[in-house]
Amino acid sequence: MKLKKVKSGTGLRFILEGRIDTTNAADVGMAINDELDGIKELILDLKDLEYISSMGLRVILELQKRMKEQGKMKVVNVNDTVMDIFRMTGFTKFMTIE
Amino acid sequence: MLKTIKSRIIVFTLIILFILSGASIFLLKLSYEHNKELEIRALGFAISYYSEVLNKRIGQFEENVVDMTIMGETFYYSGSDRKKSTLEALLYENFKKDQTSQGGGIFFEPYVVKKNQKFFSSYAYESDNGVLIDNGFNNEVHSYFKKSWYKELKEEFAKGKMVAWSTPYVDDVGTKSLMITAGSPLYTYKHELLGIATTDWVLDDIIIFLKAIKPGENSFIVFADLTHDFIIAVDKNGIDGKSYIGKPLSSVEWYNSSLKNEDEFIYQDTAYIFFDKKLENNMILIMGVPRNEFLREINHRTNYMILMLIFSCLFLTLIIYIALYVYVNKPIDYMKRKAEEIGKGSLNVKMEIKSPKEFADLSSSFNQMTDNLKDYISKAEKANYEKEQIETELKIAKTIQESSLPNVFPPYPERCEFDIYAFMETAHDVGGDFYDFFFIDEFHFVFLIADISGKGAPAALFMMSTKTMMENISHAGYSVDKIINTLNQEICKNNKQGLFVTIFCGILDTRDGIISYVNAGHNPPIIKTQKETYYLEAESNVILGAFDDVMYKKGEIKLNKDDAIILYTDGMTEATNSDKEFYGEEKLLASVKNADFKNNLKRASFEVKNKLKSFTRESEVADDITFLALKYLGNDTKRRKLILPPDIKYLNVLLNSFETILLRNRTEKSITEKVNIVIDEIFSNIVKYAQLKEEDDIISELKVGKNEIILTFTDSGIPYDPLKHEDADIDLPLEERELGGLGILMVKNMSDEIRYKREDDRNILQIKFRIP
Repeated sequence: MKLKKVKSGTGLRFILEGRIDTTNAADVGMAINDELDGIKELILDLKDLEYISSMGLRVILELQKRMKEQGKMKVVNVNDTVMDIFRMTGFTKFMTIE
Repeated sequence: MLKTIKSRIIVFTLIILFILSGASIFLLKLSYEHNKELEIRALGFAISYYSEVLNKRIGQFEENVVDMTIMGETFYYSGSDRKKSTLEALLYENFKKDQTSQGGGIFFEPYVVKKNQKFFSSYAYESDNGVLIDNGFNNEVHSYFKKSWYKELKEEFAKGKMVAWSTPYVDDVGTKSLMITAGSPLYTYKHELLGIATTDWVLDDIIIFLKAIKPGENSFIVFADLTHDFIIAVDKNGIDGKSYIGKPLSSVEWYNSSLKNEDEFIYQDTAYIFFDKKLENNMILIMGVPRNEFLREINHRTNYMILMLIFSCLFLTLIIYIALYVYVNKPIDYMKRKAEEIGKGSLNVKMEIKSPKEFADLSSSFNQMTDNLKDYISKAEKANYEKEQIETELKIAKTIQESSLPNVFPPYPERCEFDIYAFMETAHDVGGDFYDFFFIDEFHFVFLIADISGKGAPAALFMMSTKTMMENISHAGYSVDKIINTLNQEICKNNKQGLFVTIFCGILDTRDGIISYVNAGHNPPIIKTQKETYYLEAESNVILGAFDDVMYKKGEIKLNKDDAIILYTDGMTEATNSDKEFYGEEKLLASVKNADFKNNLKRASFEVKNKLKSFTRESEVADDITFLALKYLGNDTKRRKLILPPDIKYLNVLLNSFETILLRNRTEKSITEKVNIVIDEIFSNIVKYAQLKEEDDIISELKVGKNEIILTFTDSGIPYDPLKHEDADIDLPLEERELGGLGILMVKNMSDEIRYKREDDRNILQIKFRIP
């Protein structure tokens, strides 16, 4: 799992690469969460994400809850598998996916 | 209370003093009794003496009165003129001569001297002005015939007595004193009474005499006449006793009571010692001496001695006490203080006692002891430090040794052709056994077990170098005999200590299960197939390190699917129990036979070990115990089975291993991703919720078929059917979404079929993915 960060003012973009599985989901969540102070817009770029486990979904759910308080969050470049997952778990209903 | 030496010695001394005092008091009492007897005897002598004096006095009176009768009779017969003046002159001469009596006279019967004269008497007595003649009796008024003494004497004479004494009376004529009178009759030749002669003894005179002989102030003396039973004189404590005079002796109370006890009586609460002495004329001298007074002197003396005794005892006790304090207590206290200091760890404390000698000796022994102790402690500390250092080093060495052996299982989780498990327990801190395994190329897997001769650090070092050499010389393409030959030569090169190695080394070809091996003096391995369990009759070569020119020969055996080869060191077969019995090859073989190597290699290995442990029990393990089991799983490219500990860190092993198979079978990427997600969800779910123990396993199996992919998970955890799990509600808005329940939802959505069953206390979950 690799995590790349691009920051521009109150906007923050994370590029996630590899798998968000049970073993690393919590670390990813913490790594992103640590950067969120004062951020108004969070963008998660899932271009190179192979898959995301339910633990990874939890992380995204928590991030979404937090960002709703302080701004907005969107997920971009979602591949088919991940999109299926978002759909089947109902995440598409509250997430902004582009 | 009597715990200290001091109190014991003091008590002991007091007991001795008590005994001595008892003896002394006994002796005192003896001497007291003796003294008392002496005193009594002395008083007896005194009274005898004084009674003699009295006797003499009485005798004098009586002699004198007899003389006077002769005088009177002579006067009577002197002629007819019988002048009164002649009689008077005679009396005058007599009393001038006789100093004994106060007075006396000659009294004639009526009309015997002169026919016309009724009264004829003459009386003389001593006064301050010399001897006076008194004729006062010769008239009717003072008629001597009427006097008591005259009558009494005459009565006595009538009985034939020649001398008699009157009762006391007061002389109203001459001396006017209280007196008694001794008398003697005057007779004619025909024994007709002519008259009487008298001498008087004034009682005052007697009392003075009695007073003179009285032994003490409170003593009293009674002088009595037994003939008439009357008391003549008394001297008693302040009373002159006149009231007693003339009374019968029986009127004296104490005299009566004294008759009951011969030498003692009680009168008015006072004890008296009693003496009496009869005199010649039936008079008696009685004396009572108060016991206290009489014994005062002796008592004084005795009391003084008792006082001296008590004082000596106290003084002696004090001296002993002081001596004990100075010679025993002080040194002991001193030593105690010093010993306590030593006890607290100050070994530099010195005892300095010069005397008494015993304590000086003891203190020098003590000093010697502390010196020795100090010496010993410093040596011990040094030794201990060195020992600790060695121990620490050995512990580090052990850790290094242990970590040098591959000890993470499964070591190649992604390889599904075989399963391997091994352990080593060292008897000493570091051991001479080792096992090892590694791939020399993709398909050739080297595994070996070895036992270095000797034990401890040298063996461990030799083991390390052997292990390193083995790794260095094992190159791809090498056959096992080539490797062992090279190893032997390397060992021989540097083997100055003459250590040697037994080794069993095999190379598994993972493609077909063929093992080529060399056994250099090692125990034969056990082969366990589905049908039988037996010792491999491997050709046994000579040990390594003995001869550098030996050529080792290899053997070969083919393992079929699920067959296992078990290697061990002689620490297992030669382990002994408390009865010194060997565990032996039979028991080992039986334990391997009974263990389930097919299903779970690790658990089966533990079973073999536990069998051994239950045999040896508490007895100390003499040698290293090393064990290695290798199971061939076959080379199936469509199947893969992984047995992993319930730890999430193995998730990636599982994912990578199964992904390899999927890739080999050219499975579509989208399906692979789905399979991965399902593996992730299920495996992590089992790890989290199945409540497995550390030694339990999760068995994951992948089967790639023509039209489907089957994923099976087996665990021995608590019953859990994921199908019964309620799905998360995916229609809830963000704020109400819970974190759980998504995993199972995803598994359900991504797979095409899920089956759960509970069998043999195990959860078996089978998931199918269709291949379009």
